[in-house]
Amino acid sequence: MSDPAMLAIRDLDVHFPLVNGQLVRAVEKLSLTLRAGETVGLVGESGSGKTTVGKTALRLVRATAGQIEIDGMDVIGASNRDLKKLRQKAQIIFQDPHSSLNPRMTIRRAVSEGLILNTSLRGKALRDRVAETLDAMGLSAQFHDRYPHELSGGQKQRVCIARALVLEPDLLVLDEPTSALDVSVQAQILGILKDLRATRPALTQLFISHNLAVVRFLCERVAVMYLGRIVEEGPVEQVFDDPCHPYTRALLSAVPVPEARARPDRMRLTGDIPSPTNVPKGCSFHTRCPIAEKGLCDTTPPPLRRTGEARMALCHFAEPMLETPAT
Amino acid sequence: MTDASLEPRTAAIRPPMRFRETRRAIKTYSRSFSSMLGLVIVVLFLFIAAFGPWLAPYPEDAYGAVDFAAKLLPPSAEHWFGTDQVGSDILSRVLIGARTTLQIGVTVTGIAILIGVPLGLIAGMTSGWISEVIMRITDIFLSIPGLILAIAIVGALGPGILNAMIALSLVWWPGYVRLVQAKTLSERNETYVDAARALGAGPLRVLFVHVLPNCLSPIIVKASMDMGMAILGAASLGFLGLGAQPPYPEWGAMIATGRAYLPDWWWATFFPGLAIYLTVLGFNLLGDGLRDVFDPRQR
Amino acid sequence: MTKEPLLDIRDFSLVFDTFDGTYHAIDRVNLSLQPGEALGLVGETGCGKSVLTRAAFGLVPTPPARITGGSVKLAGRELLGLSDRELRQVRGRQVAMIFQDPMTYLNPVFRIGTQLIDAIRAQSGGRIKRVEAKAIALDMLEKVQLPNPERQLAAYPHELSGGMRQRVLIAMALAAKPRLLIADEPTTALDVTIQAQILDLMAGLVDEMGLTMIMISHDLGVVAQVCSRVAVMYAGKVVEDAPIAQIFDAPAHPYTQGLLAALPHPFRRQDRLASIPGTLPDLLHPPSGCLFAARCAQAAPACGVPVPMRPVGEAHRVACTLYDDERKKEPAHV
Repeated sequence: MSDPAMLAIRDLDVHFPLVNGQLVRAVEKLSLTLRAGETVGLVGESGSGKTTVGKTALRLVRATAGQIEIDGMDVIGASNRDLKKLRQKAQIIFQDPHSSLNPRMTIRRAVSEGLILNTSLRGKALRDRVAETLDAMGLSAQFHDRYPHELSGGQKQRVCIARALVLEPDLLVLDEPTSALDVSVQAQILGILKDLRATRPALTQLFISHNLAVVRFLCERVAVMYLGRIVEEGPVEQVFDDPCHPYTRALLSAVPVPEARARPDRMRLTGDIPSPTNVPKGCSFHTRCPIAEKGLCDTTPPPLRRTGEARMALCHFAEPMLETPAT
Repeated sequence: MTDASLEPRTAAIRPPMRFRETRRAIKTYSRSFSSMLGLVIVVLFLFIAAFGPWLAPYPEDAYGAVDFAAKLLPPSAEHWFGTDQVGSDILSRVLIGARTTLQIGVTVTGIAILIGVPLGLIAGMTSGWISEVIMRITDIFLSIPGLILAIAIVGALGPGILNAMIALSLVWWPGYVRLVQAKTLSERNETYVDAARALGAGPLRVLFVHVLPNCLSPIIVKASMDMGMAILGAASLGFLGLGAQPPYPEWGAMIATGRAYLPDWWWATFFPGLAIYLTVLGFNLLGDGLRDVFDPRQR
Repeated sequence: MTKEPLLDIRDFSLVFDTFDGTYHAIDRVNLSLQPGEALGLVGETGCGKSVLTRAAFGLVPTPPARITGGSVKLAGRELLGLSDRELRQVRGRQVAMIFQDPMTYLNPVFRIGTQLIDAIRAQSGGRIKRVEAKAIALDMLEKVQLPNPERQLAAYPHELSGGMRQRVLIAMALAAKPRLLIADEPTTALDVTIQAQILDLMAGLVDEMGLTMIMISHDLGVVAQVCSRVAVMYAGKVVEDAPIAQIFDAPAHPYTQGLLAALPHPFRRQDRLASIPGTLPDLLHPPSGCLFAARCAQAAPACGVPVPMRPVGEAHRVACTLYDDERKKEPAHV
């Protein structure tokens, strides 16, 4: 690890107690490191805890245990002053652009808010900076004094991106930023996000999504979550082309591919995702796993195996990488 | 990317958005006959409240002038609403009484908002014992019929218009706590509040910049309806002899005095009663109309 | 066309009378469906795909909607102009529908079994006894591959997962042996692995039971799993109607092409996604010609007048002037 870590999550647990006394284990012993400038996809189905990871990383949700560092700064134990610095360093974009904008604020005010709270920029300098950022997102001056309900979904999501970027953060958490949008609008937003990698090479992005095609398009690395744990992690192309974990395989073969001919290598999971209040013993995936072995997978938690250069899988049957000396 | 081309072409020919919104609100409001009726009544009422002493043909009659020669005259060209048992012109008393009525409505609703809204915000934004205490006290107040409680309070303070207003204010605020707390709870969980927190907004900023403005519409709607209800409440207290004391020109007190002369001298109660009825109706219709305008489902 | 189509929508138009004026939601749509065919109706938000199928069977309240022309024939019988009661019978027995969010269509306070049995008895007009209805219900739940059907009958809707609820709704819809199933975004609310299960189930029903189906979706990939034909809608019009393979291999309409180019592919490396510039036309004041012309790179003066559908191949029709004889002379890059 020569590159400095922008976001380092170690052994994170996030549990929510329910009123009926049950405990939702949203995130369990999760470790994930994002190097500066990297774009990492965090994929999983509903209830996998992927959104909780993103929110906990910005301390919008309290962690139960574990450590989170952003650019070397402790997040979980941060004082109010440190938190303020953190807010400037790390920003988040949410799934539904409509509900993430205050309906009573013009978009100019919405984008100004972060600057007013975090910088000494005021007056014309502030207005110029806001206008510049909105322009860069393709929202010309005539939009700046409009209210969110006067904009389309795609335009609103651009406002949200502008609101996050105007603070020039080092880390951007994107929580399903395109899943509420139509395909052609999604393509525009994805274009903007991909351009960020060129225009702001230092920006680190954690891209949370259930849409594997979008992750493939945007991300360099991917981490697959199932019931609060990362079950597989590695470079996107390797993971997608040759998944090691049976869940990743099933997830990939479930993706509806925009092609006329159905793929022959389909693998279907039976049953539903167990509730995070009642995570199965042993390997949490064994209830749906086609290769689970009785007596092993339902009793013993699987080890985290290195399955390749920078690749990991949480499975009893993942083949460990052969330790060959580098040539 | 040529993102400028993304704007709808029609945007240019539309009027500026703010006016458009206002126009839409006005159109939505004016589409309903009953809302417009409510507005007309309320505007008329406000006009009378402002200029009553100048509109009244016999302004001195409102403040206890006695003319037994003209007592209990039926409605005529000279006394449109007739005269009461001491010969005062009822029209004058009704017109001048409008101001008292408005004072009561505004004071009671205003104090209720001043007490209820902050408590509701606190209860909505905090959790744990503070919110519990506020909400349980609110529940206790809500569980006792408001007018009965007000009667008890006036009974303790002694009758009078001021005490009646105090009593009504004290029983009126719990409704606002309920309303604002519920609205705050739902607003607090909106994504844009999370977004504001991610931008570094503290709890006070979240409260005053993000949550409160979004609670305003239901507060305004409730306030306009409560104006009517507070007027009715004050008139009830006046009727029971606990509010304004005769000969003070208050509609409820006028009905109370006129009651003794029913049914033969009906005008002594009918016209103040009509005034109360129309005013309360007007504020309620206005509130209904405002709710239609503010209802987010319309958007 | 030798066979009589099961569903035949001709020149169907519908407007909404709104506060700002007349909103032209559906404009002269033609769509026909052979028995046993599975048609995908694809388009983005606001293209009218849901409104079209709902309005055809009397599920869009009028007013504010107003059907301004056309005809809808189900097995030769005209549906427009039927009374509410007749339409209800058509919906109960001949046409079944399932929707995006299964929870909304199940009553939370009744057990699954009660609701299924009641629905089956209602569809039959009360002629089926409770015991028989229960047998049918069990049979249907098995057909939709719901695990432990006997036990699920006693469950309440909230005790089932989203995927299971959607299976129950499919069972309920199919119990009356409808001639046509309309599935409106049936898997949009579901997770990918569950979506795959439901799509497999639906594809199986089409293949094995000979079900005729219209599947509405915003996702071409989803439609491709189940349907043999696709109609692409844009701004209230069907702009392309083709066999599924044609849509993916040789899309003819520039909008279809744009839609496909905007779609990220899970197993391919893409550096850029093409996006369609511009936004939907203002349907309060729609242009008279092709509605896509304003966003189309290949628009020509010919697009300024109404553009009807024309055949461009086997069972492949498109509403685009690119395939006019006059325009074919000039080399257009597709």
